[in-house]
Amino acid sequence: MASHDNDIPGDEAPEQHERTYSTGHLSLDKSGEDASGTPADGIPTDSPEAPPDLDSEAAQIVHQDRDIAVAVGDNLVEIRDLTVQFGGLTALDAVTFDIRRGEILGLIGPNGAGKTTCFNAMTGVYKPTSGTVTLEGKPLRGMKKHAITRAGFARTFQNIRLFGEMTALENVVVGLDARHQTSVLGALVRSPRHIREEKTSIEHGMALLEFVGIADKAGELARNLPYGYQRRLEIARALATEPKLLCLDEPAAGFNPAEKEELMALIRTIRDDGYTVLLIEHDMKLVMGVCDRIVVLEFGKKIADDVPKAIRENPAVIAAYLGVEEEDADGAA
Amino acid sequence: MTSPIEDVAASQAHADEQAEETRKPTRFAGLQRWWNGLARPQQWLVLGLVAVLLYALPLLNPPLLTTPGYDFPIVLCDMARFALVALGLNVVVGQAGLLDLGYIGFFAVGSYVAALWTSTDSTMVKIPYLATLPLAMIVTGFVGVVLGLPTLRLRGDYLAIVTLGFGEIIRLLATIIPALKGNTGFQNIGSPPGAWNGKPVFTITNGTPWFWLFLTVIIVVTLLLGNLERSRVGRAWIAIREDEDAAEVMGVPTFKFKLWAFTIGAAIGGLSGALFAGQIGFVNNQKFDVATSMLFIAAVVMGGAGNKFGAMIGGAIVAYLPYRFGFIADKKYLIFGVVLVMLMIFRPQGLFGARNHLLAYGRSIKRQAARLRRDARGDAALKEGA
Amino acid sequence: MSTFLQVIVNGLGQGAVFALLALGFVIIYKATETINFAHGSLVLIGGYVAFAVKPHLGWLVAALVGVLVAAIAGLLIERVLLAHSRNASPDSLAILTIGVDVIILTEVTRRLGTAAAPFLGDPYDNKAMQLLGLTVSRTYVVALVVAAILIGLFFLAFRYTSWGLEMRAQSENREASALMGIRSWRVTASAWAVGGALAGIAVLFLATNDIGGGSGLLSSHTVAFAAFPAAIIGGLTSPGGSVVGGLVVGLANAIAAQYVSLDFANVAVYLVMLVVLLARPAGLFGKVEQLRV
Repeated sequence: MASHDNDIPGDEAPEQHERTYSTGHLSLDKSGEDASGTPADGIPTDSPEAPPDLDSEAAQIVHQDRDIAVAVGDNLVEIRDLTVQFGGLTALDAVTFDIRRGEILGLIGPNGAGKTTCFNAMTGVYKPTSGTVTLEGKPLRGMKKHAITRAGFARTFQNIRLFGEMTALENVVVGLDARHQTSVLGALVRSPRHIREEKTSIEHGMALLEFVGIADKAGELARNLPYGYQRRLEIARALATEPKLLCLDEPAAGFNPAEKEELMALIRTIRDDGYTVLLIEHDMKLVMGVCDRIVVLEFGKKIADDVPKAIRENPAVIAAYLGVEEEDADGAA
Repeated sequence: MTSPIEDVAASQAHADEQAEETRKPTRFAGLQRWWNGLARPQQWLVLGLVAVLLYALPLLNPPLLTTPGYDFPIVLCDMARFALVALGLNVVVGQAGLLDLGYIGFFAVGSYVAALWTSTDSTMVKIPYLATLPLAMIVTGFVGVVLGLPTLRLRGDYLAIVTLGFGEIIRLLATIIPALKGNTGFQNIGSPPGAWNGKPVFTITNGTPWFWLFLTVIIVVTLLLGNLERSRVGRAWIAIREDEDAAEVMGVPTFKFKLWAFTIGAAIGGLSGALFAGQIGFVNNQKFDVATSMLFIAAVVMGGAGNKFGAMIGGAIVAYLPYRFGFIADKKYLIFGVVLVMLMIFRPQGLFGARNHLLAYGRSIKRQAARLRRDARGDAALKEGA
Repeated sequence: MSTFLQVIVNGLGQGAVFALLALGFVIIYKATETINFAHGSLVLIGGYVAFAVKPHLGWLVAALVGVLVAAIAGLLIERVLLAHSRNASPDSLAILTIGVDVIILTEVTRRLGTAAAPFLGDPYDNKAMQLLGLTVSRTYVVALVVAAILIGLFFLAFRYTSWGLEMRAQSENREASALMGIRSWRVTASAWAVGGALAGIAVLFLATNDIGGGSGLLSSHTVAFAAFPAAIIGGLTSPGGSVVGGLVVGLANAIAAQYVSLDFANVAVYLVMLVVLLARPAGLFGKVEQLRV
């Protein structure tokens, strides 16, 4: 185990660190690196804002290590006929799609199409009116939100919802706590398990913060962080729960193009580290650049489900975003 | 007369203010910096010295603090009692963010437990007084669970009124259940053993040994609560207070931890009730009214959300002022009402709003983070130089 | 049997008064999302002024003045205190109203202290009348009639006037309604004024021997506490529910007082509230909110 620059006693080496690094990514239509070692997304890897090398300590600790029953490329999550109705309004109408392990799936559509509603129905925030969501073959119907998170879904929010009075590191550790087993009594008397889990929390938490690139402000209150840091902190906190599926809800909202590039790189690194990602986004360049497949919603219904290239040319999708062409009074289109 | 734009501008201004506050030096900032600069053993030393000073207070009876017309050690007991209550209520209101307006109910249950099992007026079997302390905690904790199970599922607004109702129910039960002897109450409540020169140490006239007992209990409870704070439990509570729905989505079992907060708060309330019963030697149904619940809330709110030392100081002040300044004694509710209103308008975060530290080994990251900042600055300088 | 009917009539009469209180409380909650723990103080202030003015200007004028003062008190609380604490959390606002309640309570109690029990129900207190073969106190009948008229008027206004529309819109979505041109301060201020006015009317029946008991105005603050469980039973967001809640509380109170004991009556009200909440966590007519994340 590499030496760590903190107070963890050297003799304790919990098994979680004995990880072998493995690439889990699908071989997809991705541009590789060019000769000078700069990845095609344009960020030189020695810049402090670049996501860490997958060999780095931080990435090692963050690496997805949970046993997933499904092989890479097979369906991790299946959404079948998911319907959500509010009173008379049907926000989601029999939506069906799969999420395969190891992919980055984009969920797009015009405003009001039902993308966040879909997220909410999957993560238990809304109770679906009908339909099923299964994770590794097991249905998630009726489970409480925190149980769904422990089963393997994690998410970020469209409007940032960090715990403002906690520091960045504390926010992340709350996510890590989802996997801890210390009981209340154990915490009260500082049981060995509590001490062990607290110590590894610091290490894991800092690694996660380094992974998303905000470790320099680890001790600052979340509500005082710059906007870009807050968005990335949300991602770190979600990753801390060791999800099987990471759902990002408009993670690039409010970012300038350079920041969006960094985010794209981060998302790719997250996937390469073994996670599966479901992404809601409005920025087409980002979606096309990072997603392996795309699902398009309109008015609560799925209208397309394909690779980016095909989606770009799908007339139904174009019509949903741009409207159907109309003829002017003088006949010109 | 505001438009949404003005509203947004106002909340942005407020957020800026808050950020400013954490940066600019507060009147306690110098103290905080000095404190955070000390190494752990030194911090313990300072706390030890403060503890010794507190233990010595009733013997010193310092002229600045003394209360003419009232027995100083007894006043100290009252202050300690309020401090302990504030400590417990702080867990519920300050940390978990559950507005409990009926806390006096738990206090009452604890008092009656002590009375029923030690008083000569009671028909129950007698047990040593000190044994009633854990018994009171268990009984009140149980009551807390019974009350919490149905009510903690409710929205926050409903919770406040339901807990208020609970406080009232306890008070009314004390009146109408014959075994609790309503207005007559219980006398000759027991006390801890011990004799000095042939006379018992703990009497109702000598406040000093009782104060020492209160203080010891407070110290133990503070240590234990500190352990909880710097663990997943404390983090869960603050997360629930800040954003309950986000917390649950992050995997926090919110109902379970809300129930724990409620129960622990209840147990501490019961403990302080039992101590109060022993110290004052007499329990009846006149001491547990809604106005006292409000005083408790005032104490916690004054101290600052979640800050246990602030809450204890707030409690001590609320108890102390009417004794020290006799002229406010009859107006004390009025004054605390005004204080509450002023605080909520101008400083809802309380007088001593210090941040909770929620990581057991959080100090170690300061070095790490500083190193990272240095590296980042170094890289930036490199880029500029290049 | 006739005792039972009498108890029912008493219960409904009391319930009508509680309905007025609960309605005012819920109107305030709907418009400002604040639990107004100072509602009992609005009752007390209106009653105190009415009592002070009564010897000089007669009962009717005094009653009107009392109602007006209570409405103004509500308005002042909102405009002076709440409007300047916009960034406080809902809990802080609730605590603020507790502070206000304590202030007003101690002040009014101090001023009333030495007065012989202050009563306000001169036209009907302690006067019996015959109704369908029962002997009932006139207070209950007048209370029922007045409450029915006022509640009816309120619901008509709520449904058919622009004020009512503004109130409903604002309680759904404050920003959207402001964007639609609804001046939010007018809605909140008028809600508090109406709440205060209803409290001022309620005190005319609470400070009587029949409903309030022997200490008249002095106990009306404590009796007004029943508005809280009444509003909860009906559902904090439902004005209609608050009326039902008020009647339920009145009946529970009367039945428990008659068949168990006077002390138990207070407990009974809270027990009924707990039972209702167990079955319907948002009250009988309250809405369970859907989160938007």
